[in-house]
Amino acid sequence: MNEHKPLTHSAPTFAPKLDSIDASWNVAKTELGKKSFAIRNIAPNTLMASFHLKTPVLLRDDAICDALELNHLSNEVYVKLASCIHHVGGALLATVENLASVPLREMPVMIAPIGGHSMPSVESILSADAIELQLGDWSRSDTDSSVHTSLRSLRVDWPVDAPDLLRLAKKMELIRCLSNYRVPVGVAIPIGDISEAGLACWRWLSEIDIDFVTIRSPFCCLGSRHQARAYFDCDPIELTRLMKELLDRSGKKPIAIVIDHPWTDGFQAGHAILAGASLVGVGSFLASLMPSNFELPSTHSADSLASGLLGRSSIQSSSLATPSVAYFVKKLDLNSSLTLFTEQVQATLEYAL
Amino acid sequence: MNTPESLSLDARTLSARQINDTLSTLQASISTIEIENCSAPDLLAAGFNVNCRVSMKGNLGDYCLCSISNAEMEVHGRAGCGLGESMESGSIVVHGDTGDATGAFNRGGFIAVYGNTGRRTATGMCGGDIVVKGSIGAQGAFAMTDGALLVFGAAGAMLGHRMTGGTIYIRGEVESITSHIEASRLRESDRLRIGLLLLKAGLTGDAKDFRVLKAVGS
Repeated sequence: MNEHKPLTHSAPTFAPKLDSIDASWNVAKTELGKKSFAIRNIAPNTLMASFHLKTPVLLRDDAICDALELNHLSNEVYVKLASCIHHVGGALLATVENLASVPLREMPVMIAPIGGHSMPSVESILSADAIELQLGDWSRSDTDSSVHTSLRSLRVDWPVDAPDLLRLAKKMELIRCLSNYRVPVGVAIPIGDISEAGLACWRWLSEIDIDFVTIRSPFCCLGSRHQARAYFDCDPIELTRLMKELLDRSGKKPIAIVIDHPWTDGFQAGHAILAGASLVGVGSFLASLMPSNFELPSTHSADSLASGLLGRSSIQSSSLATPSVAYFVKKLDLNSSLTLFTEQVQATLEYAL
Repeated sequence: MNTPESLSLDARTLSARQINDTLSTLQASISTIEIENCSAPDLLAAGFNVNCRVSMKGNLGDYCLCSISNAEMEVHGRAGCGLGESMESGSIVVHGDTGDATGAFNRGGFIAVYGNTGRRTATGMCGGDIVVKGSIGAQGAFAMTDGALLVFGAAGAMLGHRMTGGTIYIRGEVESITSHIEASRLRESDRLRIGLLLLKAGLTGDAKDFRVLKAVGS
């Protein structure tokens, strides 16, 4: 059984310096031999590095180690490769369990453990590559999963049940202050949350000073699949309008959209992508579907996704099995209204197949 | 005039960020700092970790003295929300009222508030002690996991909601408690602890006047 792993996905970056990476990049590319890479500039302030090795690997420390073993890469090459990733702006890590949009500030990266829901220590903040406020109910017992010690970012949960724009803004400023104004601070929010609190999140984002936004699982705030479907059927237009309004008002904030819920099906994903497509051209955009394995999706799931994209009824497919957006975009004949989105993603996720 | 052992800063002429920058580059010889004329600046002394005594005169804004360690801080005035949040060690004494989330997420240290505090005092606290001479607002000790909250006055609704550890000592009325906490017998160890907390806060009281509330099953 081929132990495929999810492909990497990219994320927003900060002040990429393309010309500074040429030398080390070429070395790494040469030494990696037959392995191919594609780096595309997808937006003025966002670069994405897509790595397609024979065995897809996650660009995480442990996965890179796997790749090193598989490909007998020297540590020197690894460092150069990591350096490239860093300078390009961070092709990023992604699994269902660990999704993040993390610009790599330094390599190797110090990963600071976080205990409970408390604010990270000052030392942890100073050593972080990015700090991501996760808007959610931090006091729920199941939100422990949102605090990943393996990520290169710190996450600070913000109580979404106590919406207060001013205090959130101050909290952001506090984190900036504690990080000596050096660590990028962003916010992760669920895309599909059109509850009162969820809408408040969007309104916050258009007001506060942030470096990046991660739009997390569209459905993570929901209790059940059926709720999610009703949720999106309820008012996707309102959701899209809010997102667009946000980006129009927040300028060119880097945006990463991550769809990561394990029971994401095609229809729901299609809706999410549809909503995300409205962002293309407004700000940096990335959409990824990162389910738990990398088996090719069935036609059934693909049809379901197409239905979702086209706004039709769901075919009630089973859970979508770990596709990448690129795969779908290449395989599906999408509605012309999504042409722009399609071109963007195709240009972005150019795999060296 | 400043001596090598003391430093005086005027908040009328310096922004909070300028003061923080000054505090972050302190000389090792300085043991006492006075910050005067504070007019509710936000984020003052956030992350301060020098072992010295800091006195602040005037009112503080939100998220002041967050994530501090080692230092002994005294505030001669009121403070806004998030005072002393995520404190690691050291002490904070406030002579006035404080806003919401005082001492939230503390991992250690000691906070004494001689006035009242707002909602969610000691939220998520996982260490350290907080003494409030006045009353606390609703949802006190919300999701608290460790440490002690001692309240002379009353407490608002939903005291101890989702509390899984730590201890509440309270003398006044409680508007409502949640099912997550229960009354406990005042043990000798509680008497000693209350005595120590009062001593540290510079307050007087009788331990037997306090009720003990702990997380269910703890």
